[in-house]
Amino acid sequence: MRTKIFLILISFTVTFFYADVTAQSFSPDKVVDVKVKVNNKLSKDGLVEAVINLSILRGWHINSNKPLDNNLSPTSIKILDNPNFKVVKINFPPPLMKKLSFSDSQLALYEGDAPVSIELKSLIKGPNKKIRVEGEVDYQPCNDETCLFPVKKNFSFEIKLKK
Amino acid sequence: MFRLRVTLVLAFLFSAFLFKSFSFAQTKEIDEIKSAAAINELPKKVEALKQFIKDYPKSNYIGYAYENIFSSYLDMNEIDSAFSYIGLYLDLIPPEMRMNPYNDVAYTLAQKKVGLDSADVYSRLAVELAEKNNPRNLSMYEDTRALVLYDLGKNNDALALEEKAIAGHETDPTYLVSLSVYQEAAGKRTDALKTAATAIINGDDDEAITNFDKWISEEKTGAEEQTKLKEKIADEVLQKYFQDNDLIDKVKIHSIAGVFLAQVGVKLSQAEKWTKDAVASLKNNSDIEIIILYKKNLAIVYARQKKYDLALKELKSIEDLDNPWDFDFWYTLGNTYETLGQNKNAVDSYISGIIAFQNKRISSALNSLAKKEGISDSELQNMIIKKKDELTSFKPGHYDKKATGKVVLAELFTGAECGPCAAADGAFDALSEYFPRTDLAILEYHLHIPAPDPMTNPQTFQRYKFYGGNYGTPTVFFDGTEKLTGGGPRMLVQNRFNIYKYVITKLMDEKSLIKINGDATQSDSIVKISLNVKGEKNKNASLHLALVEKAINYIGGNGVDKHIFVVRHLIGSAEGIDLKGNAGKYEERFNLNEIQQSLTKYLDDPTTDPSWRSYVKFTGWRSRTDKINRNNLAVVAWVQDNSTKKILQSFYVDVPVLDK
Repeated sequence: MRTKIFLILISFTVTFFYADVTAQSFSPDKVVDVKVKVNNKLSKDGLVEAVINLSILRGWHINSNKPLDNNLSPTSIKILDNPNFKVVKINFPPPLMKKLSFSDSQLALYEGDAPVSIELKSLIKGPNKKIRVEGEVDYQPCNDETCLFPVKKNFSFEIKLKK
Repeated sequence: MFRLRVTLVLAFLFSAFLFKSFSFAQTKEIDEIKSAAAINELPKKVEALKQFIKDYPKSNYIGYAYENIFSSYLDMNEIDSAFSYIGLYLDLIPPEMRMNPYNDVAYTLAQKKVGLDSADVYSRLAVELAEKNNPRNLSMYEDTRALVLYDLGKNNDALALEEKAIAGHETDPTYLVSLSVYQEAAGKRTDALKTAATAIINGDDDEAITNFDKWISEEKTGAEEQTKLKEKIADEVLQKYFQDNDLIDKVKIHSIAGVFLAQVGVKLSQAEKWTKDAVASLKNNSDIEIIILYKKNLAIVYARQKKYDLALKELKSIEDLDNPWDFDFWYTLGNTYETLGQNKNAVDSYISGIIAFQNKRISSALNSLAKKEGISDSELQNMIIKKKDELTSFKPGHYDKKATGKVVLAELFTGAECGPCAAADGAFDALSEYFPRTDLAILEYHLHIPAPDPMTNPQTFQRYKFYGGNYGTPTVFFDGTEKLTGGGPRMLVQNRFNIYKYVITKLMDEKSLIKINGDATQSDSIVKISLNVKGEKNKNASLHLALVEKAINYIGGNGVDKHIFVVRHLIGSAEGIDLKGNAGKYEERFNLNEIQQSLTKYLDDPTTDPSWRSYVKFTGWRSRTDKINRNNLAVVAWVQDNSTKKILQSFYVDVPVLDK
C-alpha cells in the first residue's frame, strides 16, 4: 500500500461529517509517533548514530524539513545541549512532493514514515558508558479537510557505548 | 574608529547582499522544481526535471526529481530508462532511511506489473526496515509486499502476509478487499466471499461488490442456489457485525445492515424495513450526517427493489448536502436516473461522483452511458471541466423568507495559510451574500493554523480556547453549539454553503426569548454602541461584542484574497460581559486608536502571546493587515450562555463611516 492511497481513502471513509467527530477531539501530538533506534556501536571517530522515526498517522501529513512555501512550519528536530556529546549531523529524508486536493501547487511533505538520522560525537571516553539524549521534534499536521496547530513533542533515548 | 565603522558597515552590506542572493536563488530553485512538476506532457516533464538536476545538483529536491523521472518513464513505458533512475534516487538516501522509498518504488512497480523481481527485493527491504524502526505503519509495508507476492504468483505467501497486515485494520475495506483477492487466488473462495461481504458492510462500494457478484456467479449457476449462498454469507457477516457493534446506535447499525443486504441482493424486505425505520426516526434536529446516511441507505434499497421513483425522491432530498466523494450516493443517483431514462441527469450525477476522486464503478457507468448517448471522450472531458467550473463559481442567490426574529451567529475559525479553509471561507462569503444581517451575523476569527496569519490577534485565540481549543481549522460554530469541522478545495464551496445554510435555517426556526436592538456611532476614534437587550436571561448569560472589519484584502497561502467580518476586538474578551441577569440598556465603546495600537504591537512581535506557538520561528509577515479601515466597520453583539455555549440571540449593526 502506498502512502498516497491513504489520503484518498480518508476522503471517502472519513467524510466531512465524520471528520467532525474525529478532528474535533483530535490532538496534533497524536499525529506523529516518535521512536528511536540507536546503533550503540562507537565508530573509530567516536561517532554514534540513531534513527528517529517519525511515524505519521494514516491520512495525515506534516511539512518536510524544507517546505516549498517559507510560511509553512518546517518539521525540525532539536537535540538538547549535553556536555557528554555534540551533534555532528541531522539528516532528513527527501520529501514527498505532491499536489493535494486543496492546493494549487506542489507541497513538500512527509507521509507514512519519515526516518531522520542523527550522528552524535561522544565526548566521554571509554566503552560501556551511557549517554542520555533528549530532544524535541516540531511539526505541523494537516489532512485533506483540516489543519492543526504546530506541535512540539519531546523524546529521549539512551546510548550504551560499545566499541 | 572610523575605519572600524566602515568595515562594519561594509560587512553588514555584504552579509545582506549574500542573504538576499541566497534567498533569491532558493526561491528560483523552488519555482523551477514546482513548474517542472506541473508539466503534464511526460517527455517535457522528464526534460525539465533533468535540467533541474543539472542546474541544482545539491538541491533538497533532487530525490523528488529522480523519483519523478522514474515514474514518468514508467508511464511512458520506457522501462529501462525508468530503472536507471531508481538507483540514482535510492543512492541519495541513507540505507536506514529507505522505508518509504523502497515501499513506493515497489508499489509503483507492482501496480504496473513490471520489474517484479526488483519490487520483490524492495518490498522485502521496506518491511525489514519497518520492523526495525517502528511497527506503527508496518501493515502498510506488508500490504505492499503482499501485492508484490500476489503479482509474482506466490498466492499463499501473499495471503499469509495480508492476514498479518490486516491485524488492527479488520474493518478497513482497503485491507479487506486485498485479503479477499488473495483468498480467492489461493483457492479459498468461501473465505474470499465472506471477506468481500465484510468489505461491503464496512463501506467498500466498488471492487468488493464487483468481485462478490463475479465469484457468486462462478460458484453457483442457478439463481436460487446463488441466492441461498448469498443469504448464508450475509447472515454470517451480519451476525458478526451486530456482535461487534452492539453498543452503538441500533437504528444506525440496522440502516447500514439494510444497505448491505441490498448491495449483496438478498432479503430486500428486511432491508427496506430497517432503512425505512431509520428514516422515520429522523427529527428536525437530527445531525446532518445522519440524515444523509439514512436517506441514502433507504434510496439504495429502493433502487435495488426497482422502486426508482421512491429512490429518486430520497436522493434528491439530500443531493445538495452530499459531498463529491460519497460514491455510493452518486452512483445510485446516476443509475436511478439512467434506469428512468433520464440520461442527461444520469451523466451529470456520474460526473459529480468522479469530480473529486476517481471511482472505477462510476467511471465505468459514465463511460458506457456516454458511449450510448454518442458523447465523445473529448466532449465528456469538457463536461467534467465545465462541472468543476460551475462548482467553483456558483452564485448563492438571496434568502427570500421573512425574518423570524432569531438572528443566528456563525463563527468561523480559519487561517489564511490553511488549504482546506478555502472551501469554508468561500462558503461564508456565499452565506454573507445569501442571508441578510437581520437573519445571520458572521464572525471570522483568524488563527496561526497552520502558519502565521496577520489577521490573528490575542482575542481570536482566546475565543478559540473558549470553545475548547482542541480542534483544527476550518471549524464553524453556529449559535455556539452546532459545530462542524472540515473544509476542502474551492470546488467544495457550494457543498459547504448548502450544509451551513441547512444548519442556519434550522436554527432560525428556534424561538428566541431575547431581543437585541441598538445603534452604533463613530466619532473621534471612538465607536460607541448602545444596546437594548430585552427578555429572559439566565444567570450564565453574557453579553459579547465584537468589532469587525467587513472585508480585508490579503492573499495567504490558500489563495483566498478577501476575508470578511474579520474580528478585530472583543469587549470582555472571549467571555464577554456579565449581564447579571438583567435586561436593559448597555453602552459600550471601542477605542479605535487603542485597538489599532494593540494590533500593531502584536504584529510587531506576536511570539510572546499564547496565540503563538513559542517554538515556531517568526520570520515576518507576507504583508501586514493591522491598519484598521475605519470606514468599513461593523459591530456584532450577542447573548451567550457561557456554561452551555448556547447563543440566545445576536445582533449586527454597521458602524457609520467617518465624516470626511
